[in-house]
Amino acid sequence: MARPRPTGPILEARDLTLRFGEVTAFQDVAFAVMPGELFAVIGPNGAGKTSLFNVLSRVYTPTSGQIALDGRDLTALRPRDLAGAGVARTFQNLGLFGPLSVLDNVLVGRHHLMRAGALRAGFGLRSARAEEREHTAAAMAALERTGMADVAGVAVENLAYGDRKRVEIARALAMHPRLLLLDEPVAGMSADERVEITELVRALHADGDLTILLVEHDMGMVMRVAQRILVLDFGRPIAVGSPAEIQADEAVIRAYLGAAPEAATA
Amino acid sequence: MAALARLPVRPGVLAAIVVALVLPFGADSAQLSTCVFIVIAAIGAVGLNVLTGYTGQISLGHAFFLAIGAYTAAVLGGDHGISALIWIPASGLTAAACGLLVGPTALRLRGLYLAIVTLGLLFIGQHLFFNLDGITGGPQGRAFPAVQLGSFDFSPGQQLTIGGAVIDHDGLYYYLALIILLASLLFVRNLVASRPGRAMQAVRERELAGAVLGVDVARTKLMAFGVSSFFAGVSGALFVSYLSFAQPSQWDLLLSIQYLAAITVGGIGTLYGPVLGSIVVFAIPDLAKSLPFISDDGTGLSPGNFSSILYGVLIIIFFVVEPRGVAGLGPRLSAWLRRPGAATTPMGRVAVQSIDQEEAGSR
Amino acid sequence: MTEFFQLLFSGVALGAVYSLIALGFTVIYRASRVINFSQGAFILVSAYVISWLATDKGVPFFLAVALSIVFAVAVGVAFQLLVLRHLVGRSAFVAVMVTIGASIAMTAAVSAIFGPDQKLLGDPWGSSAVHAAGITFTWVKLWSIIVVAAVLYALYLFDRHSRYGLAMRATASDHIAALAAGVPVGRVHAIAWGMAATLGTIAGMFLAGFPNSPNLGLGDASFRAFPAIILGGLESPKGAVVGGVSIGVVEILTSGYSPGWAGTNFSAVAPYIVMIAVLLAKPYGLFGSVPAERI
Ligand SMILES: Nc1ncnc2c1ncn2[C@@H]1O[C@H](COP(=O)(O)OP(=O)(O)O)[C@@H](O)[C@H]1O
Ligand SMILES: [Mg+2]
Repeated sequence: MARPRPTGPILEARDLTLRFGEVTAFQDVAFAVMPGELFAVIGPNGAGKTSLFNVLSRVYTPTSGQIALDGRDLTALRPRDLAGAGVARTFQNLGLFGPLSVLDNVLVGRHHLMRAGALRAGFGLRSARAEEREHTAAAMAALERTGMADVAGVAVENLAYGDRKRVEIARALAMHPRLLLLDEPVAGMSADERVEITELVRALHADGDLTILLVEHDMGMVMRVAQRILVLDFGRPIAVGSPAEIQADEAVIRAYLGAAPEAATA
Repeated sequence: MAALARLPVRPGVLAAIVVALVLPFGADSAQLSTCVFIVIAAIGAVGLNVLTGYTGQISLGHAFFLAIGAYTAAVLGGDHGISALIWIPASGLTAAACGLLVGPTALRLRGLYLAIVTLGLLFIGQHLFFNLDGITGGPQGRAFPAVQLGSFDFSPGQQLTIGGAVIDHDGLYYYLALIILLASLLFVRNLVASRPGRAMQAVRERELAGAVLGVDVARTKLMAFGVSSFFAGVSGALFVSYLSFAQPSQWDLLLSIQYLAAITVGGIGTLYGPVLGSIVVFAIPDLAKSLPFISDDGTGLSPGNFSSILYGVLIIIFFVVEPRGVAGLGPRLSAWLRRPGAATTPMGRVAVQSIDQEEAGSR
Repeated sequence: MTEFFQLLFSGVALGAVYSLIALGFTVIYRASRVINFSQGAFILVSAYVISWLATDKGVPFFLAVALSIVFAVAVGVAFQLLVLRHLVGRSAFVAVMVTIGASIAMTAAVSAIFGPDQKLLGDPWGSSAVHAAGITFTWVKLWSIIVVAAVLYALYLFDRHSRYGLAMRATASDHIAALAAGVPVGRVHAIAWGMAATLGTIAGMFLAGFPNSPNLGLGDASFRAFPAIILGGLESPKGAVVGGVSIGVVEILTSGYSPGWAGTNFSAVAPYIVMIAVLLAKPYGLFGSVPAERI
């Protein structure tokens, strides 16, 4: 499944603004993410990070500005086209289907790669069953990767919070994305789990093809894995740069009230 | 034990099928008639469960699709003398086509708005049925064809002798409906455990998250409408064929509500729930007649009023006490029997381990 | 032309009653995001209770209405406290089914207790009317219009000036936040049900007035108020009145002028046809807006 790697940025935003009536979620945001990059977006609560992800996954339409995927206008796509375009995401507040099993949740991520319709599936045709087997194997492989394969048959609503987040990551991986959007993947996790997920994200990135956009409050994680960081403050971009540059940036330090970056977690 | 494990259905389900198969030989004519209505209704309930139970779309218009199936049977089988082998599936397909036709309106709406629009569909449909005399017979109603397969027909008085066993008019309808019901259950079982079925449940749980994962929400809802209407059409056709007569006033809101009651009382979004619920809901009026305080002549509580009060109260009780319906009573009972002391189940993997251990222990 | 104005008057009067019913939906929906499918049953029960008190028990009519309101409020609040309170946070479907369940049980209970025959309302208006410019203004209809105007004003005052009006608006906009801010959400819901029951009783009284009478089909009017709330949007009291009056006028005008090919009783479905046409153009009603979803 080697895809041709475009030479330009995989994702590029220019003057991007999103408002809800009077509320400005973010404004004049500009950045470019190169293929294979691990790009982080940080900022205090309410800075507009999740809203930015929602724009990227077409849940929201930007009020103004441009956003391009592979150089093409992203707003021309519908939410459901994104999976086919190679974009997968996790949700800060989890977008799982509670009563469905872990495996079924991950298989929904394979939906766009599968073909069976109601008739083929309902009549249990051999082609539908073969497809089902093939994609179940792929889903199980994704679950192995996040360490959730042993609970594949359990309803998601019976899992602990940290485990649910792992299922979400597995589902996003199973979608076979080129661009992975992770919204606070380690929030609400124990220290051990944080280390595991940090290692997982690093390993996913090291595999090569995957571009990752990461929103995270855990500065330890961000500084360890990110190649470049965009800092939002009250919806305004205040800095973009390498972890070292960001840690030294005056505006960033001021935005975090001069506190050590770690304290911004609160 | 090993042989049982290889069967495609659970032992309990297998036992239920066996009971259903021998049932006509142990029931009197009135009881068998009740069973025919239950099995026919269960086909429609299985359909509604696809739309409302698995896809989460509230429809008050199920009676409309039952009627479409019924009148398709009347026109094809009754007016044109076409074989039941054609009009039974055609009834489903016509109803499904109507479902797909009204779908686009319905798709733009969510939740409560959809409920109200399907209510409008029901009333507009009833208006049409009252006024299209040529097809429906107008307010007086019309006759419907008995099932006819080649030269053999299912009308009253007919019987079929296989070996030593005699199957009469009621029995014939019973077995025909049972075969169709089992086929419907198999279809839905396959459906919900595969790509389109997972998409339906994703739409029910979180439409937007499903969309972001690549699920075509509109198409999924439309498909659910189509499947649901297909089973409604087949059920409606069999229903009027067995009754042999029906009036437009029968396709009313109460009928839609009975189907909703059946799937909720039985266990919404479970495979066998609609069947269990149909047994409860559609047996009530007939059972009511034999109760001492019920009478048809206006001196006591009428069976119709009694049944309605009971449906209403059952719906409320099940939603407050056991949302999983009758289908949830089994697991609840067995959980209660197995671990009488455990009030809370530990979450997550701990609970899973215990299930694994139980399974290992029973092998 | 006289015929047209006669129909228009009847349409506005019927629309006024639809507005009362629609306001009953709106009050509950705003407080708890529930569409109360049992509103029709409240109308039915109230009309029969009024009739029973006023004609069988010899209670003066307006006292009978007041007692019927007390009864309906008690039933409504009890239903909220005993049933719906346990269902907060469950899906919209659950509330729909539970209120439908209550509706069929209540309707059947009325049928079982009072029998299938229609009753006398026992109201002082009967068929009395004033005549002007060739048009007959029956007192029942005049009063229904006046009372709707008064109720609307009272609701407005409640909304703006009562502490519960504010609490209701808070609960409507964000249930969890309202709880966190110390709003007595349970009491707000109960008050909403009490208000809806009161509105239903008044609507039942007018619906059962001349030329109608208390009969088992009375509650069906609530189904025709659904198109009204769809037109007006579920959350706007003003929309409920605009929608209610429009639907009443559409229904009565089609009953007067509907072409033969449309079939008998076309006026009963005309509101739904209007509703579906509107929804095709504006999926969230004339005044509703697309709800922003959060994820
Ligand atoms: N659907 C919405 N409607 C109105 N305001 C919203 C919506 N979504 C987000 N917001 C607002 O946008 C701002 C940014 O929120 P969010 O993107 O969730 O921030 P973050 O993820 O950085 O914590 C907040 O003020 C939030 O209230
Ligand atoms: Mg966020």
